[in-house]
Amino acid sequence: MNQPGVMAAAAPAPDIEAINALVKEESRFVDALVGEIAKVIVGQKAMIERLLIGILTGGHVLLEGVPGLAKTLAVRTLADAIQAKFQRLQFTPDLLPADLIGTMIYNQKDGAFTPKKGPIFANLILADEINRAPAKVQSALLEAMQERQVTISDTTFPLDEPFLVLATQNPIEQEGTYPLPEAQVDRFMLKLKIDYPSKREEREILERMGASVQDFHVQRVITPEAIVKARRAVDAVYIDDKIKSYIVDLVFATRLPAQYKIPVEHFIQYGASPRATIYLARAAKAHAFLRHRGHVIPDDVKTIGLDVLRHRVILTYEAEAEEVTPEDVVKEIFDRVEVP
Amino acid sequence: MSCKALLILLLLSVWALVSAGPVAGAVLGPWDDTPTTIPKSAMGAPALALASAPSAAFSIRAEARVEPKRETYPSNLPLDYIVEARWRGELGAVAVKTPQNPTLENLECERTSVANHTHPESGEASAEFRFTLKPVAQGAAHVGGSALEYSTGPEKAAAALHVDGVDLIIGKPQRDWRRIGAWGGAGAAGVAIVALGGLLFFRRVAHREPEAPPPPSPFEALRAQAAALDRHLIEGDEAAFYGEAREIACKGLALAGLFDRRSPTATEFAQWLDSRPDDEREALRPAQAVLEQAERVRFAAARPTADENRAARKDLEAALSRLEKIAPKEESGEARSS
Repeated sequence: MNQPGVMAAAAPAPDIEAINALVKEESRFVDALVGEIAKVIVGQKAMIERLLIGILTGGHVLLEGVPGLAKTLAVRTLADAIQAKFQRLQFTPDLLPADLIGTMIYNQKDGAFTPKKGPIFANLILADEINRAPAKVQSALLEAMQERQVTISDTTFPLDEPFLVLATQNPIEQEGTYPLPEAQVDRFMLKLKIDYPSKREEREILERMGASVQDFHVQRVITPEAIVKARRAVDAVYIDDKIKSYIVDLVFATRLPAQYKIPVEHFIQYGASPRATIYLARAAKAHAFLRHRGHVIPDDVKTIGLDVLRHRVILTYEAEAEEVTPEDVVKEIFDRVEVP
Repeated sequence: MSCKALLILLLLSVWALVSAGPVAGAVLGPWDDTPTTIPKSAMGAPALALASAPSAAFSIRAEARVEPKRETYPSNLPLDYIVEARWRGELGAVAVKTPQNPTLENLECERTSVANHTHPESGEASAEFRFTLKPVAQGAAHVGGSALEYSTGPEKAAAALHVDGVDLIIGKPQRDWRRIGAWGGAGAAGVAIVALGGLLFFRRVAHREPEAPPPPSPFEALRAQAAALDRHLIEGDEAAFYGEAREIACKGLALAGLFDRRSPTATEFAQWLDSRPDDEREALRPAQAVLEQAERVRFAAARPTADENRAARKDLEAALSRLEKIAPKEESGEARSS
């Protein structure tokens, strides 16, 4: 069901073959990169794929899962594989914004203040347990995520590219935490829910990690510069008007489910923002890129749709009372909105 | 006065007392057992015969008449011969015995009826005996005279009044236009009804719409839809060709009860196919090929060759025939019956 006025104007026919060739060329590193990460991480293919989507689109990722699911290890391995500068920040209640972005230090030799950049100046930031830091630290991080620059004293410093924040939060132990406001959660492109590994994977983890001394050598597969170049190829991935309309329909269905005859209206307090539309398209392109495809198909949208929309659909008290989760609602929407 | 004169005077008094009866309450008059004869009416004249008791205080008279009054009576219509006794006083003052049926010539009696009447305007009462007669043939007819026996009380002796018969002429049968009109109207109405029925029957038979063929089975309908796909290629709209081909394939999958998703993507279908038994997986490969090719054309702006289009058509037809074999039979039957 297309809303009137949302169809894009007719564009000149794209050279899909050229795009396909470009994507195949630029995406050759993907399999090698996934292979390197798989040397360390058992399973969690969806998480690794979403992390790559985040890197390829510049979209930040919020990971939610109980401790011990290799969230930190996965991010560290990814950073090693692309030889990017990696910083891990353990968010605690006494953390200050300066601990994150840096501060001005007085130099006694020359009697001047010089900036000391904080750990945020890295390619990959792992903000561990982001909900344990107070709101002002969260704001400082999220502002940097949005602006991709940091101001220390009166000097503004651009952040390195690629710049990606991977934040984790623990769904349990909510005491003494500062839950992220919806407006700040919305800045994360993807919210991943990490689940336990399967029995076979658990056995494999035991085999690999059973020794007290582990020696994993992850080879560098790609440079940060190549990642930036790959991003341009991702941007070039063709997305048809029918897919664009499908994305708009999905986002509108979160706001006006009744128009799409989806019986979840009483469960939704607020639907997804236009940022969801943007991120759905970008993530779908990156997903197609990971599949070495130069065009988006509906399956790309469906695959990443839940991770893009689950934290953007705010449910009502009625939904909470009936133990309906955002995942339930989003899945229902994907099942009901007609695929082009 | 002599004895003979006294005897005559006594007899006269008794007669006067008997004649007055209980109605008049007067002295009865003399009883005359001899019926009074009414003169025979002339032939062709209105039939009327009268008789009356010779009494000064009490009077009763009888008359016979034919209704309707005519000179010639049609041979096909009945007529009424009426004998009536009329007297002054109350209805119950006189008991009149039903007379015998009159002798009839060239007539037959169909039925008889009796009626009593009071006539307040004249202070009289009457007893009417009606004989409905049916002419037998044309020519002269005769109704014989009748004797009306009556009595003025239970203890009184009966007396009788005699009416003469009447002569009638039976003529040609008369056309009963009213009857003819009624029968004619009924006949015309019947003819009209028969004609209308015939016309409707003729129209139904002659202009009968050919019976609609039974609705095609869902798979037959899909095959027909697939056969019409080439129109999109003629118009140069390959995206529409593959869009409809995909739609047909999805409908076939749903009809076969294999894939409950409303509109599966090629990837979803491929993943599902991997979980199926080998023979089913191989049988459904053409459907997968259709979905994948449709995605390439519709979302990657691919321009397939004519051979690829033909191959897609064949894949679609093969997929439909294989899905039809897999589809539950009762579902096909239900769809056909509906």
